[in-house]
Amino acid sequence: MVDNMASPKQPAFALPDPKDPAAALPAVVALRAAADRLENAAVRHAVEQGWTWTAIAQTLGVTRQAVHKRHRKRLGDIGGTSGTPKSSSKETR
Amino acid sequence: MILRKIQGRKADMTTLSNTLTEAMAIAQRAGAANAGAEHLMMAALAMDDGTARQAFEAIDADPDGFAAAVEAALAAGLPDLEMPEPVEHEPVDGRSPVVVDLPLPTTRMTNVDATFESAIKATHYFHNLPEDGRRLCGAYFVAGIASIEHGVAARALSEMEIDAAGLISAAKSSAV
Repeated sequence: MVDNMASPKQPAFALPDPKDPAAALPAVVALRAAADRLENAAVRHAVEQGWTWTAIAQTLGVTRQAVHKRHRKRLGDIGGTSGTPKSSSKETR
Repeated sequence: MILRKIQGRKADMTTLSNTLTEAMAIAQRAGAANAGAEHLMMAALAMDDGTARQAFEAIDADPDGFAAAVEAALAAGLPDLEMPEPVEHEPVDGRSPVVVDLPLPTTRMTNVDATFESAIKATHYFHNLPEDGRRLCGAYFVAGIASIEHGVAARALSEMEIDAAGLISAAKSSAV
């Protein structure tokens, strides 16, 4: 039986060898598409669950402006319009 | 540069504008960060003039199969990866889907990738505006896109067992 503590983590799938760009580059494209789709779906869920745009941006490691630009219109106004938490007393809505 | 060339041809301007807008919308619905030649192809196939569809049909290819071929080609890049579904616009809490205001094309487009750019540049119509009053139609885009050797659109055509040269030829015939 394999001792999981001792053996290195195996990836769920193997990535192509970079020395084979004809295989490796399309793999990059597939990974980016998967990342884009996962991001779109996860951001929707985050907003529905009450995450602020700031929290989403910080978790993704991008600017708040970047998440707004990419997701705000797409998701309509189901999220808060400001970065402040819903429980903030400064919230005027 | 292309817009300046066709500025005198009002109908062509409208056609180009509509096609590019639709391609961006398709890319957005597919959850893509940038529009690629594959999205432009889908927009061309959706055009009312029907010439793009005709080009596919002329070589016994199914125009309605292109979208699925794009998905297959994309996933084939890493077959063991469980590719998530594209995230569609859907109504939230019963509200109607968000209509995204896409900018009209200017001479500089953002959120398009290199295959999209190459496909537009390769669209023969823009380089040799027909003297005989022929208008911009879907088939011209098909010919331009099919000439792009690499990328998802090219792999989608391969996936459909479409010979690019054959499609280009059929597109040129359809563009009347």
